[in-house]
Amino acid sequence: MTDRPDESPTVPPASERSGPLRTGWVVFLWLAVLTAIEFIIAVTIDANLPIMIVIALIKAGLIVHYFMHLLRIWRGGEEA
Amino acid sequence: MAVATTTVEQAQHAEIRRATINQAGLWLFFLSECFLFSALLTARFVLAGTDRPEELSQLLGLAITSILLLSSLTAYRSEAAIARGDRAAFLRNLLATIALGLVFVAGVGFEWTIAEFELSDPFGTAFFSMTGLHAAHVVSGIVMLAMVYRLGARGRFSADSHWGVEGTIKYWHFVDVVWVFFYPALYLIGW
Repeated sequence: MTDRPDESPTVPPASERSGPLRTGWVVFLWLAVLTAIEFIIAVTIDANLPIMIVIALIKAGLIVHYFMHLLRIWRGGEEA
Repeated sequence: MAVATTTVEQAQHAEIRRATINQAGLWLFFLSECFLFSALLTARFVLAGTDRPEELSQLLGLAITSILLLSSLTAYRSEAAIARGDRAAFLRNLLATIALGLVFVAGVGFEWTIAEFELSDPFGTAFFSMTGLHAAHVVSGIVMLAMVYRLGARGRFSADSHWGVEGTIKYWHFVDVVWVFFYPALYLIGW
């Protein structure tokens, strides 16, 4: 699922595009793994409320930090 | 010459200040939404404890959760694409995000049609309230993404100016964050 090179001359080379794209995939894979873990834990363990909360907080933290760029608030809109 | 330099510096400072205010305003809106969704999340446990009906479709819950997580990836890629000036990838990923959002809403709607518990049940009250309000946010997110797509297709956004894209996609991610907490609360806890 990689992006095809655009013919527009304004599009930077692939080497400059790979950073954010790789970050997106890595974060998504972590979210998928954590979702699978919480599903498996829910199936196999009865008292799972604290574990579920911890996993949900980690997932939310990943999205807020990497996808929502929380730190940009303190950087005046620059890349976080 | 010195006057011109000062004017440019003032303009840059004003631009940075405006971007910061935009960001802060959006995050304050998210904070206010957190209070709303937290109230619903708390109400779920007050009303129904940790009980969960056996007939709730686990596979459907896992499927729509995966779809929403995938839509966050395409939304992220869309924003990253416009930030580097790649309009084709920006529109392609935005369209994928809209499509995945529609599939999510359809999944929730299907869940409602097959749910065997009633709205008047304690769990049913929590389930329909939480999924209903969340789905309303997803639908509003889809509408905003469609507006951004239309503007983007007309060349409105660029690498230097795309706050409309950034704000809308941040909202989409926020809706995803809410589901990160709703999914275990509704589907997993009380197995």
